[in-house]
Amino acid sequence: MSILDYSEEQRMLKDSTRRLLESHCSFKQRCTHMTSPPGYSKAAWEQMVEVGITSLPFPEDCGGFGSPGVEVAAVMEEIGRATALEPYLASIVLGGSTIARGADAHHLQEFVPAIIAGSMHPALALYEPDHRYALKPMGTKAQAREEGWILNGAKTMVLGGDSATHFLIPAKATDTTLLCLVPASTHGVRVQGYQTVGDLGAADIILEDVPLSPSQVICSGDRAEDAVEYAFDVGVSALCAEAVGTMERLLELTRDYLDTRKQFGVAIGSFQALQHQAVDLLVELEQCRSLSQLAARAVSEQATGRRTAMCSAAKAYISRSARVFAQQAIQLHGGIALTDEYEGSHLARRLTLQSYALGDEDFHLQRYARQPALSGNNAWWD
Amino acid sequence: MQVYSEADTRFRAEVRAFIAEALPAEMARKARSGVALNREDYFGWQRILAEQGWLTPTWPAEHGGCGWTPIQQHIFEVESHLAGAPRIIPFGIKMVGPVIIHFGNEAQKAAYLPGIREATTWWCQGFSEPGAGSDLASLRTRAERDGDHYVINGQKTWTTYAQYADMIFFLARTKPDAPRKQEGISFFVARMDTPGITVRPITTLDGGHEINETFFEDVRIPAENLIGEENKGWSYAKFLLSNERAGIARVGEVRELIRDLHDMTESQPVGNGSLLDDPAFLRRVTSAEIDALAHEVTTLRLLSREQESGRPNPLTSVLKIRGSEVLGRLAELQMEVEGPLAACFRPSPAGDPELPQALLRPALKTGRYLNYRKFGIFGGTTEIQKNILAKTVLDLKG
Repeated sequence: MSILDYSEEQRMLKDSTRRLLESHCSFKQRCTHMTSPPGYSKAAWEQMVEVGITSLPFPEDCGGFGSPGVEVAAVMEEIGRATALEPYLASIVLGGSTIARGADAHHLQEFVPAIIAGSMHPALALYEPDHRYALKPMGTKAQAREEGWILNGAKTMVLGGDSATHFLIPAKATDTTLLCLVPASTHGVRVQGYQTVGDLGAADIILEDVPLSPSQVICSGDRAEDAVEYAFDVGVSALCAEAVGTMERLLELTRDYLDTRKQFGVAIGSFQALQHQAVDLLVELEQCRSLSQLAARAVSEQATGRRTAMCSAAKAYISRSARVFAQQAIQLHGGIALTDEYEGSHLARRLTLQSYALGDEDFHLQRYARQPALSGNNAWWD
Repeated sequence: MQVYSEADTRFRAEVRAFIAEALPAEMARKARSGVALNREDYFGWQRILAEQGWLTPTWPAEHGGCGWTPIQQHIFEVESHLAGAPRIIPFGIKMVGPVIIHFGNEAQKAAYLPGIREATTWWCQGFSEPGAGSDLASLRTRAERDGDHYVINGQKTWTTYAQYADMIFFLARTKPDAPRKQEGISFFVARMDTPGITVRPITTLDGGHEINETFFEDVRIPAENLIGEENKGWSYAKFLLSNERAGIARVGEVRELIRDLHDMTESQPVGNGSLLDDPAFLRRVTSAEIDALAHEVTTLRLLSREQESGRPNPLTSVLKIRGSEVLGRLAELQMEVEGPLAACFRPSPAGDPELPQALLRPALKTGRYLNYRKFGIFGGTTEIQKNILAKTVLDLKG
């Protein structure tokens, strides 16, 4: 097998995901799904469950496939190509990985099968108002009571939050961090859903005196922080792969448009200025592909120190590249890419979401720089 | 995490151990200092490799090759740079050698290959001309048959290290009236001491002397100096340039510059701390490091794909483009580490003949920054690479 490419089996997984999305989430179908509740296609989601891709990131002993890295990346590239709306990233990758990493055996058996079956949608509530990309809870607090806790606070930009059945809430207790699992229907939980720039659903959550039983705490302390950091890295790796898929599709559309659009009596793709700009996109795409593959492998192989470094390296690069890519693709098209009816504009919007979701360039450059530096003559992956 | 195969990881350890043992400390010190290297510096290291059987890895076994895969060649290049070994000058080993092996006759193989394999003959390349750069096929140097000889008249330029060379390989026009300009070109070799060949140094913007102009004035060379068939030179040149692509990513140099940039930033005092404490500079270093990482992984990805399919991959032009950009940026950042001293270049004619000791390093870095502009220009400019990608990968018509 060649280094840092998909294997034969992974390619088959990718192809079958593409076929699934082509038949359920074509651009035309998708435009209908995004304007009617729940904001995605239930039929497509059921198909994803049916073919088993919802089991990919989970450990084998609770019904999963045990591959949160490369296999998930193969699926996410296809989701990115189709700009699919189904909550795979939110429920399976982010929510699912948080539980898979943080929960004890009892909770795993209770929740993971339901997540894989597509009936439980846990959304990881990472961000709080006025704390940008901080991964630790700042203002969300758990106050101990006789039995359990009372939760108060607010979370924002919770991916998949608009259609989630449960929220994973990191909260500050007196001297520790708790990771809490709160059903969306709990008294005191207010959810305001919205659509992100990439058309995926999200929500703001307000927690007002939310009662919490001890069994709703998934884990606490270092284990809670590790579960969030882990799920964040798995999510970053997946989102990078999604961006690669979106770029790949947008480059295809751009290339075809340059080849067919005629001005001054010739295809505009015959102009060298435009050819070179299109090649710039190709060069960027190849860099992003490489970093995405590297991050996915770091996640698959559970190499903790390198895991964070490789995921942040990939996302720092892709966060910048995704926006530049979208801008230049729009410019190469001209007016048509400014219209909502053109697929390319949806891809450009999705690239904007991918740029900002799960940490922007600055956040990840700093996170990368905090990891152990490349030492001596070692390669990055040594 | 695993990026190299186990065999390649073992290979890397073997290469690393050999270089640590065989590379003389003084040679490494000089190469790493950034001062210009001379013929003996380069040949000294090449002879050590020749003895180990590692100088001509890509040649067929019967001519002294050792069968390294593209990934192994890459690993060797990276390890050589990290250890501070002088770089391998490609003109004999990577360029004319394979052309002679593929298209030369037995007498030519016997005459020229040992000198390359044993690092005793220095070759230079006579392709570009004042009027033929990116449009190489419009070259005007002429070769006219006269009995058992060809008579060469014309001018070559950008002849790298002609000042050290024993031999030159070059393209000349043998059929001026050919219907396509590519069709009337032939591939020759000549001794540099042949009467009528003169070399004039070109001083580059960094003050250095790597390149030259080479003039041919009624130069008589024996007819057996023609390689392959007359008027087929263009296809040999294309073959040669496709072999040149193997090292175009320059990942070895990139890794060396990244490592040194880190150390320099950390050891550059600023007040009571170091330059590493400056968030603006750290951000740029981090960003450049990630660009370099992306480039190295892309190189490995494309090389291993080539290794698997056995076919050249047109995407390798991406490596030429990014390699030159990344190297240029790293040289720039290393220069900027020096702060105000980065403006130092050479001794003043009105002052001391030597620079102050503390300014030697900044001056070398500024020179290298200027010198590294060359990577986007030679071996097919960035723009030519983009033309190639637009045509072959994106399938856009000119």
